[in-house]
Amino acid sequence: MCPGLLPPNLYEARIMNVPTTIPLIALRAWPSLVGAKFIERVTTPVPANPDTIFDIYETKTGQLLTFVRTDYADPRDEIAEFHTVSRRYRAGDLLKPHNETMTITVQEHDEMEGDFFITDESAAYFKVYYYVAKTVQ
Amino acid sequence: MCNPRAQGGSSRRNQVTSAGYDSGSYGHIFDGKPAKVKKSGGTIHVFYGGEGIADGPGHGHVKATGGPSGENIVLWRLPASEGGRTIVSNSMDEKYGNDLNDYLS
Repeated sequence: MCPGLLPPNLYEARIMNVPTTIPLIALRAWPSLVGAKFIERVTTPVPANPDTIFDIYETKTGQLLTFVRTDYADPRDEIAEFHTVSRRYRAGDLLKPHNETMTITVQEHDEMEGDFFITDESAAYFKVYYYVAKTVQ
Repeated sequence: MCNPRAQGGSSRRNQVTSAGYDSGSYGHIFDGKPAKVKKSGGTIHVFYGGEGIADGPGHGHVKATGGPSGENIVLWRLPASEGGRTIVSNSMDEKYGNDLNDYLS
């Protein structure tokens, strides 16, 4: 059977192999994630090896946040995918890195400034983008 | 051996799960390698050159926007077999890039 056609239980088992630990540079950018409790991982079944992973955390103050790791930050497209797959959570405005008291409304890719994400050049073999979205259940 | 074409991919029909999720279609060729194409809203994703299957481990990823067939490539990450470098990454300031249709068949 092709990886893209794996039954959900095996698919979920495989993506769980990617650590849920939040990288230090992301914790510096969004301090409210420090000490946050991991709740759930969501990703889409395509591609067979995910390019985008959504990890949902609950902060110490009880706020739900989705930490997104992706190879290309396009939140409108990616959050739409997230909503297609996740039946329980809705992601909304983004928290501005290094100033998370400010929020950024998700718009079409071309309409967004490049100030909603940070990048990690050291991850895997390609640049990884991180951003954080407010989330409700 | 995994052969997506043998599982209905050659028709290029998109696979739609019972939950209504459109997982795209195999049977394409991108830059000379087997590819899977998925449309998501106004965005077209091409996954190609993965190990064993187009979107398998080490796959390349191309993302295109604009027009019905994705005129502008905004992301192009090579497969791991070609080094895995990102050769196109629209950093929010380049709105006109390569035409996807120059490479996809």
